[in-house]
Amino acid sequence: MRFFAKIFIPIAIVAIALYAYIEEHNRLTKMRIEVPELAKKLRLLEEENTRLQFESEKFQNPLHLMELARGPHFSHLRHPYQNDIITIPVKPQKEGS
Amino acid sequence: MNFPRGNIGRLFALVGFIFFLFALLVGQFFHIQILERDKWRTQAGRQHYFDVIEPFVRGSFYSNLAVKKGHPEIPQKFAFDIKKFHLYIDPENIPEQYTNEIASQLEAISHPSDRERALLRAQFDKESRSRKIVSWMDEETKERILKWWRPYAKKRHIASNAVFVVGDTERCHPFGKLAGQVLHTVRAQKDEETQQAYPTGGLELSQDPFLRGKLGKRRLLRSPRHFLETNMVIDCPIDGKDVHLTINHCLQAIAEEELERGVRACRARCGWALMMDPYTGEILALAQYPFFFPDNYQSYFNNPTLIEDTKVKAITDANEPGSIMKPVSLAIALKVNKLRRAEGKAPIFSPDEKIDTSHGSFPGRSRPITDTHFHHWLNMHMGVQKSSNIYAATLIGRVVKTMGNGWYRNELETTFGFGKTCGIELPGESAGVLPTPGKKHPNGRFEWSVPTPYSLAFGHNIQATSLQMARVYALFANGGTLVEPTLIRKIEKNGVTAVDNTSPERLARFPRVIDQDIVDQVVRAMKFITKRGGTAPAANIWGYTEAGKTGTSEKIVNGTYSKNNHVSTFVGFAPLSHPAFVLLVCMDEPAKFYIPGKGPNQQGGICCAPVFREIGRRTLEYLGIPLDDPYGWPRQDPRYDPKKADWNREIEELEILHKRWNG
Repeated sequence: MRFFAKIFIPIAIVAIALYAYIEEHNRLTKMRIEVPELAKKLRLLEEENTRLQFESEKFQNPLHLMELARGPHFSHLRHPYQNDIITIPVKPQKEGS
Repeated sequence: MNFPRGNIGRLFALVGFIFFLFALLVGQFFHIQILERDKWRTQAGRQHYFDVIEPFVRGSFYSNLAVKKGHPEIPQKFAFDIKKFHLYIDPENIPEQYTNEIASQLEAISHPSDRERALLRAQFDKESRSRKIVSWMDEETKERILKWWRPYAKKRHIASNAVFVVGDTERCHPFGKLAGQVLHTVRAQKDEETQQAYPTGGLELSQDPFLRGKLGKRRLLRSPRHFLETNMVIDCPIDGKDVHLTINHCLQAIAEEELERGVRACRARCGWALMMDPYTGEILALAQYPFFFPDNYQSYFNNPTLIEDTKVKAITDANEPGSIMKPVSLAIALKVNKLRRAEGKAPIFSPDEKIDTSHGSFPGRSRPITDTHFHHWLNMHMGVQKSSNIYAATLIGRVVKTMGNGWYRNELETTFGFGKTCGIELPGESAGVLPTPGKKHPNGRFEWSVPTPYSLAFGHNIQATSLQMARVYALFANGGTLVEPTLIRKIEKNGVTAVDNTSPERLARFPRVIDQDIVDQVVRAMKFITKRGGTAPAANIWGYTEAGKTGTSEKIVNGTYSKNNHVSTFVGFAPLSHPAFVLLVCMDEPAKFYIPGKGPNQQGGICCAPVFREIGRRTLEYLGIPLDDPYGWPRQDPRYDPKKADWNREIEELEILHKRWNG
C-alpha cells in the first residue's frame, strides 16, 4: 500500500503540473490566436474613427458654418471681443487632494 | 570466443561499412546544419512564418488655432489620410457565362464614377489577371461587395479571388478647396515598393521629407487554421510627422469668400490675398481665385489653361509693384534725413516742405513722369495721399544725389529684402528683380541707367512678389523689424518636435532695419489713403483704424508696357495701435472700364480696396478685436461723429492746406 502511495503521489504531482502547464500553454495559444483578430478590430475602429472625423470636419467646414451663421437662426450671434473673455487659470491639484 | 578467420574479416567489413554510413550521416548533418545552415533556416522560416506589412500614416496638416486668444478649439485638419479600397477583378478566372451578371452586380453595389462605369464591362474582356474596376471605395461598400461575392462564387464554383479588394489610403481634404494651392495633394498612384505618395506640389511637396512615413513588418506564425501572433515586430512602422500650419481655416475661408466676390466684381483674370501676422511673419491666410480643388487635381494638370491655377502666384509671380513702393521711398528719404542730422548736416527734405510736382522731367528720361491727377504743390502727406509719382521721384532724386546709387540700391536689398527670396516653405518662390548697376538685361540693355532710381521710387523697373511686399508692410506695421514669413508653426509627432517656429528665439533673430520714429511718420502718411481725399476710401474698415497704400501697374506684355493689362494691389494693416494683420489684395488683369462716381475699375483703390475692407472687417470681428475708432463710420451712420472720428481733423487740415496751395 505504502509502495503504491509512494508511486502514485509523485505521478499525481507530475500529472497535475503537466496538466497545469498544458492548460497555461493552451490559454496562451488562445490569446495568441485572438491577437491578430483584436488587432484587426482595433485597426478597423481607428479607421472608422478617422472616417467619422472626416465627416465631422466636412460638416464643420468654415464656409459651411459661415453660411449657417448668416441664416436667420444664428444671425444674432457675434464673436466676443477679446476683452469680454475672462480666462480662469486652472491651479494644479495638490497631491492627495 | 573464437571466430573463424573468414568471419572476422566479414565482421570488420560490416562494422567498417556501418561506420562509413554513420560517417556519411554525420557528414550530411554537418553539411545541412553547419554549411547550409542559413539556407535551411530561411526555408523553414518561410514554411512556418510569414511577414505582414504594417502600413504607416502620412502626416497631416493642422490649422492654426492660436490666432484667437482665449478661445480654445478642437484641432482641425486641412488634409489627412483615410483608408479606402480599390475593387479588382481577375478576368481569366471568371467564366464567360457569369461575366454580364457579375459586371452588373458590381456596378450596382460599388457606385463607380461615370468614367469607371463606362469602362467597367470592357475590363472583363481583357486578357489580364488583375484589372482595377472601381477606385476609392469606403469600408461599407467593400463589405457589401464581399458579402454578395463570397456565397455567389462558392455556389457557382468560381475562384473566390476572381473578385478582390486592395486597401489603400486616400488623401482627404475635409475643407475641400480651402488653401488648395498652398497644400496641394498627392497623386492617386503610390510607389509600389515603399508605398510612398507622390506629391503634386505645394506644402505636400516641400514638406514631403517630414510627411513621409516608413513601412513596418510584423511576423506571424503559420498554423493550419489560425495565424498566430509571434510578437516579433521586425520593423516598427513610422508614421509621418504632422505639420501645424500658420494658416487659420476660418481666416482662410473669409479671405477666399471675399476674394472670389472681388475678382468676379472687377472681372479680373485672377486674384489673390495674403494675410500675415506682422510680428511673427506667420501667414494667416493665403487665398487665390480661381480655386484649386486638390481632390480633383488630375483635371488641372491635364488642362494647360487650368495648370496656372495650381501655382501660388503671391509667391511665384513677380510684378512691378507700382505705387505700393512709395512708402518705401518715403522711409528711405526719412532715413537719409536722420543720417544727415546725426552728421550735423541739413536734411534732404522736410515732410512739410512744399514740393513742386507740376513737371516730371528727370535726368535721363526721354518722357516726363506723370501723375494721374495734376497737382502743383504737395507736401509729404499730400504726396502719399494723392499717390504722386513725381513727388516720390523727387525725393529719391535727392537721396541718390546725396548718398549715391549704390547706397540706395543697398537699402532696397538689405533693409527691405528686394531681389532676394523670403525663404517661404513653398516650391518655386521668385526672388523678383532688383536692377543692378553694370548688369545687362537679356535684351542687352543695362539694368541700371541714369533714370532708374526715379522709376524705382514709384515701383517701376523693379519686380517683387506679393510676399515680399507684404513683408515690407509688416515692417511698417511692427515698428521696423524685417520678419521672416513662414507657413509652418511646428512639425511634430507624438510630442517629438522636428521644427518649431513659435519660439521667442526665432523672433529675436529678426533684424530691426528702420527706426520707430521713421516708421511712425510713414504710417501717419499712409493713414490718409483710406480717408476722404485718399486713393482708397473704399478700404476704410469702419470702426477701426487702418493704414495702407494702393498700387496699379501696367503689365509687361511682349517686352512692352501694356495699356490694357494691369496688376492692381492694395496692401495695408489694422488696427494701428497693435496691428493684428498685414493684408495684401492683388487683382491680375481686372477689366478696364470706368465706374461712374468711383473711377477706373482697374485701379487698386477701386478693385482691391473693397476686398481689403471686407476681409479686414470680418477678420477683426472673428479675432474679437475691440473697435479702436468707434466714431469712424460712414457719414449717414448714426454712430458717426465727425469730432471724435479718428483722423478727421488731420484730413480737414490737409484739405485746407491743399486748397490754399493748389487752388
